[in-house]
Amino acid sequence: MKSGLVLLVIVMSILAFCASTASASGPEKLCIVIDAGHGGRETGSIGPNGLKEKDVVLDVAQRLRDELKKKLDVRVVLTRRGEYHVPLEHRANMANTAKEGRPADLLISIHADACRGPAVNGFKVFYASKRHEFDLDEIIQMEGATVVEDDFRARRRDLVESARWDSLYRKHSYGNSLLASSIGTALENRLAIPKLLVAPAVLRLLRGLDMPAVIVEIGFLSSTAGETMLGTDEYKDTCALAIMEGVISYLDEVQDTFGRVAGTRRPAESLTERELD
Amino acid sequence: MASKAMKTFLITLWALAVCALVIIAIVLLRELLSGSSEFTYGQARRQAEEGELTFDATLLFGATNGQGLAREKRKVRQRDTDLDQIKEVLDSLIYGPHGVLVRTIPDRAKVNSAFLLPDNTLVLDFSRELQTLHTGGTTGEILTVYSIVNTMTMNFKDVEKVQILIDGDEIDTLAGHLDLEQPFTRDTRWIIRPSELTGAQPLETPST
Repeated sequence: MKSGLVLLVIVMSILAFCASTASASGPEKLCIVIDAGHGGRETGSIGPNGLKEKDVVLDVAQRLRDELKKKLDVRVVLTRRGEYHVPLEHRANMANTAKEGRPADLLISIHADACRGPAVNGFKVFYASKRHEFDLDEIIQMEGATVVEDDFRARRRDLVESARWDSLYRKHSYGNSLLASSIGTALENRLAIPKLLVAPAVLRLLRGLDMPAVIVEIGFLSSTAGETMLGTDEYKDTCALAIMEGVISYLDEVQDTFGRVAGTRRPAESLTERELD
Repeated sequence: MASKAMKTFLITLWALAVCALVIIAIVLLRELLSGSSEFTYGQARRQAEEGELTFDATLLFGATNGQGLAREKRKVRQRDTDLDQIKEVLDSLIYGPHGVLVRTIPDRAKVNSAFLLPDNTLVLDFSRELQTLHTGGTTGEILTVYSIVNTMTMNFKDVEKVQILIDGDEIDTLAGHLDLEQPFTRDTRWIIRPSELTGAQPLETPST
């Protein structure tokens, strides 16, 4: 009888402990990283009347943060919160460790575009692109003939690690293009300027990111009309709202496709890798 | 006696004058025939038009709708070696378009050197102006890089990839966007077909 009672107490204690742990942790919050391009000494492009890209995109990033927090129960991390420069590798590292040392669920980088010549206006959305990647075996074959064996093995390990970091974005091919098209459609619904492009490109920031990520070019700073537009609160609010709506659309799509919202667990291992570029 | 001496003096003076004139004439003629020792694009064009050997190049410049690259066919001077020919075509690209297309490379940028690796990677070392005088923007960088990469890979069959350096150094990006650490292959997605340019009007007067 006594031993039965002791056993019961032990079992009840264990159950109580498990229950308290479960209720304390709760479902994991989605973590979204917003990256305001350039900053500090790196102004980005400058409009004909002096409006700087770094200032515009920081403003839009902050508005987007506010919109996301209003509509979703998410954690938002800004890679840059003020007037200073953050190297691209640091931004990627921040995103890859934003969720208590683990990758965030999404990254959205905000930029304003520019080019020489005819003045155009419109928005673009870019995501990571496959590029020529060194064929490891080919490198090993080239290097192996002249390198001492131990050194060769160390260099091979370095090359393998480098290729892995450089290829992280490939895990998220489908997520990248889905996020890009979701945001592109949402911007098209809200903005008066045309959607010029939603496409993959070989962009430095996106290489090495271990989550679906896009770069949104919210307009052209190189034209007078574009600069005027990018300087208005109304346009910046509309951009932030549209991007937020694009994120929601993406999350809904992932929920529909995979039966759970991205971010409750890392979706990468469940996503089918599709070569879309 | 005096008159004989005078006569001799005058003859000598005359001879010296004639010699001086001949020397001056020779120097002037040489200058006229050799021209400047430094090659200029205009000179090549005159030579090309006068029937010298030419190389038919396809150059890629910014399209008139600002959203991609467009082709311009141009005859450039034919050079003796592949690398010299590559530099010739690059000089034409830096010189800029002849018609309505838009330059993609700052006009003060220069090619420091070019060499071809055994794996058919063309390494192009540009001067710092390619970066410091760049207008910025993701589209601007894409047009600059792919006008170089596509021009090189479309004109020279031995060139499969292009690596861009600045003053001998590898760089991360030109203006914060495109990843330049590794070589690029040709990407014809950025080339606009002529039919897509028909009727495209700039929204305002182009800026210089």
